[in-house]
Amino acid sequence: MDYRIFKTTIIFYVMLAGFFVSERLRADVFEDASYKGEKIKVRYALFGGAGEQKIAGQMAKLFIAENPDIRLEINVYPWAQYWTKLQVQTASGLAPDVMTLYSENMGVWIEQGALLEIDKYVQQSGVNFSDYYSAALEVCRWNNKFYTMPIDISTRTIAYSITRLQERGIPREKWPSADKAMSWDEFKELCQLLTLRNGDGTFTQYGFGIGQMWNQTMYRMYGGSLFDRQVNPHASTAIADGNLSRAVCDVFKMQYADRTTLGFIGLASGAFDNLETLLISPKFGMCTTGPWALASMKEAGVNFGLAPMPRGSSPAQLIHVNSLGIYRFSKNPDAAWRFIKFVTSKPCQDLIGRRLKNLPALIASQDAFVNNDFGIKGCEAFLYDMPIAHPSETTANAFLRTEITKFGQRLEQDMAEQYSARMSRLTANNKELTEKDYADFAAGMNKYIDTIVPQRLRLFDENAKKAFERANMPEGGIAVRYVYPAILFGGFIFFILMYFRTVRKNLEDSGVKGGFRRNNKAGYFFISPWLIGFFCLSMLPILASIVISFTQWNMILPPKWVGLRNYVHLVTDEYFLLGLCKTLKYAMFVIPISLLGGLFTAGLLTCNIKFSGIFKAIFYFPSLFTGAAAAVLWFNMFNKDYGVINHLLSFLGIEAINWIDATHAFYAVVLMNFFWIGSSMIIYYAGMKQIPRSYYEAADVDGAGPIRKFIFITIPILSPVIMFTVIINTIGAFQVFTPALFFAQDSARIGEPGDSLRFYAVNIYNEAFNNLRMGNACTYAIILFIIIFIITMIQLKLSKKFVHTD
Amino acid sequence: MRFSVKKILIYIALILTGLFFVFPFYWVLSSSLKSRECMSMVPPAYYPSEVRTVDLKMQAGGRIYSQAGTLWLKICESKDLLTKSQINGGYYVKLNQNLPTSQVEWFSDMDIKIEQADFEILEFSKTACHRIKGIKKPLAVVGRLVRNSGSGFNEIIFTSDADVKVIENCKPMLNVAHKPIRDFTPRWVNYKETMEGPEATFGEKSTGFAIFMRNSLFISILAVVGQILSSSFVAYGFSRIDFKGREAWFILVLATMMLPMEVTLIPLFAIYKSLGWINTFLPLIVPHFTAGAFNVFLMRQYMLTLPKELDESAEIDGCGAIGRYFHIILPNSIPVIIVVAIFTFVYTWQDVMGPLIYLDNPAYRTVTLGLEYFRSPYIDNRHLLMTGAVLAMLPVAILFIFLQKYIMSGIATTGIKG
Repeated sequence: MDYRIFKTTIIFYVMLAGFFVSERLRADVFEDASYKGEKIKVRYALFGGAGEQKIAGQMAKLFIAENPDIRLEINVYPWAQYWTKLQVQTASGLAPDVMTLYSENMGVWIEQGALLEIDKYVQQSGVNFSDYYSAALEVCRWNNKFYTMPIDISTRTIAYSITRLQERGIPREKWPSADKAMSWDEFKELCQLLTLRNGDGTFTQYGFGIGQMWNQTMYRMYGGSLFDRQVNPHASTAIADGNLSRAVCDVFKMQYADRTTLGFIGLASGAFDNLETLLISPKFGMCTTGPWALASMKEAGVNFGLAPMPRGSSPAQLIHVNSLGIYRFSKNPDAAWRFIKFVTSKPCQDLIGRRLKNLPALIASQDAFVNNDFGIKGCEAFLYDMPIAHPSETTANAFLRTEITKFGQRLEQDMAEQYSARMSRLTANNKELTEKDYADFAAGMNKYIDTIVPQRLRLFDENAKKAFERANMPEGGIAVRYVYPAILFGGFIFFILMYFRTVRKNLEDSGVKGGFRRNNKAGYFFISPWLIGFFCLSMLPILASIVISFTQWNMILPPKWVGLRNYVHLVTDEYFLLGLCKTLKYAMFVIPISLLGGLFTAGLLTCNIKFSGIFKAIFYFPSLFTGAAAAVLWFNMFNKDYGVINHLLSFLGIEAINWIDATHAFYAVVLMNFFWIGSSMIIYYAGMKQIPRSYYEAADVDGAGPIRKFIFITIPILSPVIMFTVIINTIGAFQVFTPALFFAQDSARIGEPGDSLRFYAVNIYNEAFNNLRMGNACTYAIILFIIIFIITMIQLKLSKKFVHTD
Repeated sequence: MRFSVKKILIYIALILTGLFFVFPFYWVLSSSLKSRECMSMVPPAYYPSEVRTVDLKMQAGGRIYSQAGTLWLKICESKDLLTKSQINGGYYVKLNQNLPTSQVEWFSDMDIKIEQADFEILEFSKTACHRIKGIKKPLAVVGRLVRNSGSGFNEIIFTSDADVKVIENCKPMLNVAHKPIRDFTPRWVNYKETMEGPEATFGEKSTGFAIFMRNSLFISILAVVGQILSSSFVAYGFSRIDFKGREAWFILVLATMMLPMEVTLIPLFAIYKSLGWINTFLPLIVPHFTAGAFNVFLMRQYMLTLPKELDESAEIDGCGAIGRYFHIILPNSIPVIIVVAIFTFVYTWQDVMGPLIYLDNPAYRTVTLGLEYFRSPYIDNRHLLMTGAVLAMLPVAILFIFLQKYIMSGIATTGIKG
C-alpha cells in the first residue's frame, strides 16, 4: 500500500516533467541558413524586457542579412539580474563577446580587465566622432583610449498628467511644454498646485513623484557635483561646492518639508513599485520618466505630456550611456566589432529611436526618435537638454561607488525618519491640520535639512578620502605577505584536525553494533560516492578557500598574492562587522521564536485531543516554504500601504509601519520565522511523545500543576533536543540569503534597504559575485568556518555538562 | 466540568494558531487571481475584485457650449457650490473629439450661450459605480472636480443613477465620502500569463513559468534520484558492512553535516568553471550523486534498525553485497527513501544561490530565479508574481499532501529536521 502511493507520486512527477519538456527551449539565435561556409559565433548580451528582446532581434536580422558568415546569439536579461549575470559570466570566462555596459559601471569594469581596448578598430573603420553626441563618446573613453561605442542614451524628462492638470483647472499657459525648460521656481509652483493634502497629514495626490536618478540629476541641474572630474575623480568636492549643498537641500526640502514631491523612500513603501510609470496611479500629477516607459504608459491609457527637466543656475543634464564593449578574451573580436559598428550605424539607431528604447547615440537618428512608432508626442523634450548633457560619474574605484550610493541613501533615510517622527507628533491628537500647522511643520523640516545636509556632505568627503586611500593601498612587507599566512595556514590545518578529533571524542558511543562480516573492499566500494564528494567538494575547496583568501583575485586576471592583507582589512571592514553583528542579532531573535513557538505548538498537540494529525500537518506545512516563494509572499504582505499585515494591525490600533524600509526590514525577516516554527515543533513533539507517562503520573501524585510539570519534567528531558535546535538556528542564521535577495531591489543591490539585510551569507555573495573580490569573499568564508567550528565545540562541551542524558 | 472548559480553550488555541498558519496561503491564492489594479488597493482587497462599471449616455442636444473652438457639455444644472454664490449656472465637462475629458468647470448662465451640436448622444463609457456615505443605492460617478481651499481641498463628484441608460441631469455632491463598489472577479488569465512571461499582458511572450517549472523539475528530479541512489549506497556501506576505518569516516560524515555551503562556494565555482560546467545544470545535479552527509546519516540510522537476519539469510541464498543492497535493503527502506526524496526535492526546488550563480541562459532559469525575473522594474507585475509564488509552492504542497505521513515520521524518528 505504502509502496503504491510512493509509485503513483513518482509517476505523477515524471508525467509533469514530460509535459513541460514538450515546451521547446527558446534560444535567440540568428543565422543565415543558406550560407554554406563556416560561421563565426558572436554572443551579445543586453538588459531589458521582451520589448528590448524584440528590437535586438530586428537588429540581428538586419545584421545577418549583411553578414551571413556570422551566427549571432542574443541574451536579454532583466535589469535586476544583468550585472550579477555579467559579473558571474565574466568570472567564469563565459562572458558574451559583445556586452552592453552602463556608464556608471564602466570604469570598474575596464580596470578589472574585462574589456578589450578597441582604439584600433575605431581608427580603422573611420568613425566620424561628430556623428555622435559628444557626452556619449566621452563615456566610452578611458585613459584616452576607446573601450566601447555608445549605442543609446538613457536620459529623462518630466512627464505630466494632462488629466490631473485639467482636473485641477490649471490654465494652459502654466503647463510645462516640450520645447522650453521650466525654472526651478516654476516647477515648484506647479508641484504645489498639483498636491492635494488632507487634514490628517495624508495625501490624496502628490504633485510629483521622483524617479530613479532624480536627485542626482537635479544636483547637476543646479551646477553641483560630488567630484571635480568626471572620470578618475581623485578628490571629492562635496564640501567646497556651494552649489551642491544648496541643490541637495532644495531637492530634499521639496520631498521632506513641503512634500509636494514624494521621495524615493516614500515611493518604495507605497504601492508604486514602478517609478517610471507613476502616472498610471491617480496619486501623481507628474513624474520623471525615460523613453522606455512611455509606451506602457500610453497603453495603460495615461494622457500625458513631456517637458525637459527644470533648470537651476548652471545646469548640466546628467545622462547615462549604454555602450557596447568587446570581452577581452573574446574568440572573435573582429566579428564582434562588425556587430558593434553595425548597431551604431543609422538603420539600427533609427530602430532604437523609433521603438523608444532610448535616445539613439547617433545624432542623425533623432528624427526617428521624435516621430516614433508609438505616436508619442513631445519627445523633443529629451533632446532639449542634450547640448548641456554630461555623463554620470564614472570611476574605477569600487569603494567610491559604494560611498556615493551610501551618501544618498543614508541622507534620505535620516530625513524620512525625521519626517515621520515629526508628522506623527503633529497628528497625535487627531486634530484637523490647518495650513499654518503645515507651514510650521515645513519650516521645522527645512531647518533640519539645512543642518543635516552639510554634516552628511562632510561625512561623505571623509569617506571618499578613505575610499581613495583604500584603492591605493601599498603592499605589505614579507611578514604580511608570506610569514603570517604560512602560520595561519598551519593553524587552519590544526583547527580542522582538532575539529574532527573533538567530534570523534564526543560521538564515540554512537558506533554501530558489530556482527557483520569484515570486508574492506566492499566497504570502501560502497562509501566511495561519499568519499569522492568529500574530497572534491568539501576538503579540496576548503583548502583552496584558505589559499584564495591570501590573494586578490577577480577571476578575470590572474590572482595577486597579498598575504594577510584581506584579514587585516576585516578589522576596518564596515560591512564585515555589520554582517557579523546582524547575523548574531538575527540568531538572538530567532532562537526564542522557534523555541517558544515550537514548545507551545508541540505542547498543544500533545494535549490528548482529536484531529491532532490534521493540526500537526497544518502547523508543519508552512515550514516547507522557506524559499523564494515565501519571501515574495511576505514581501507583499509587509508592504506599508497595500500590505495585509499593516491592515490587520490597524484593527489593533497600531499605526502603519513601513516594514520594508531600512529600520524595519530586519525585523520583518525575523517575523517571518513565526511562520516556520513547525520545523522545531515537530522535533519537540516527537521528544514529548517519548516521555513516559509514568513521570507525569508521579508528578500528579505529588500535586504538581501543568506548568510545574512542563518546567520540571518536559523541559529537562527535552534539553538535548532544545540544544540541538539552538545550534541549528545559529548556524542557519549564517546562511540567511533568500529573504535578502527578495527584499532588495535587485541582486546587484542585495543587502538593501539601507544596510538592514547585510547578513553574513549576503556579504560573501556580494563580495564574490557583485564586487568580484574573491580573496575577500574567501576570507569571510574562512572566518565563517572558524565560527561554525567554535559553535560546534561549544555545543559539544555544553551538551556534556548541562544537558539531561537518559 | 472544569475538564471540558480546558479542552475548549485548547481547541480555540489550536484553531487560532492554525488560522495564523493558513492565512498566508489564503492570501497568496487570492492574490494570484487579482488584477494589477486590485493588487494596489489600499486597504488591501481580501478577495480578487474589480470596480463595477456601467456605460452611460447623455443627450447632447441643448447642452453644448463652445468656447474658442473647444466644446463643453453641461452635465448638471447647479449653482457654484464652491463660491456659494446665488448665480444660476451649471457644471460643464470639456469635450475632446466628442468624448468627455476629466476637466469639469462651472460657468454662469449669463456668460455662455448654449449651441446646437452636430451630434445627439454622448457616451460616458466605463463609468465607475460608487457607494456614497449615507446613500443606499450605488451611484455612477460621471465627473470629478478638485480645487484648493483654505486648508486642504474641496471635491465635487457628479453622480447619476447607475441603472439608467440615459443620464438626464447629474447630481453634484460636495465633499462626500465615497468609494468605488467592487465585485468578486477572479482573474484566471493570470496563470496563463505567468506561464508565458512577465510581459504577456502586453502581448510580448518571453520565458515564463512553463519553462521555469520544467527546468526546476528536471533539476530536482535528477537530484532526488541521485541522492536516493548514492546516499542509500553509502549508508548501506556504513551500516551493514564492517570495514577498517568505518568509524573514522563516519565521524567525518557527521562533521561535514554542519558545514555551510558558503564556505566552499568560491572554490567550487572555480572548480566548475575549470570543468566548463558553468551555465549548465551539472553543478546543481552532479553533487547530489555524491551522497549528502545528512541523508547518509538518516538512512544509516534507519538501516541499523533492519534485522541482521535479513542479510544473513540472503547471504546463505548466495546473494552478494550488491545483490543484498538491491534486493533486500533498498525495498525495505522505502519509508526513509521517501523522506530523503522529499527533503532533497524541497531543498533543490527552493535553492536560490546555486541557480543564481551557475545558470545564465534565460532558458535555463529555475522557478526561484523566475520569481526574481518577474520582479521587473519596467512593469508592475505584483499580481503575476503572486501567481508565480503559487506555482512555485504547488509541487511541494502536493508532495506534502500525498506523503505527509512519511515526512512527519521521518523527522520524528531521527529527531532532526530537514
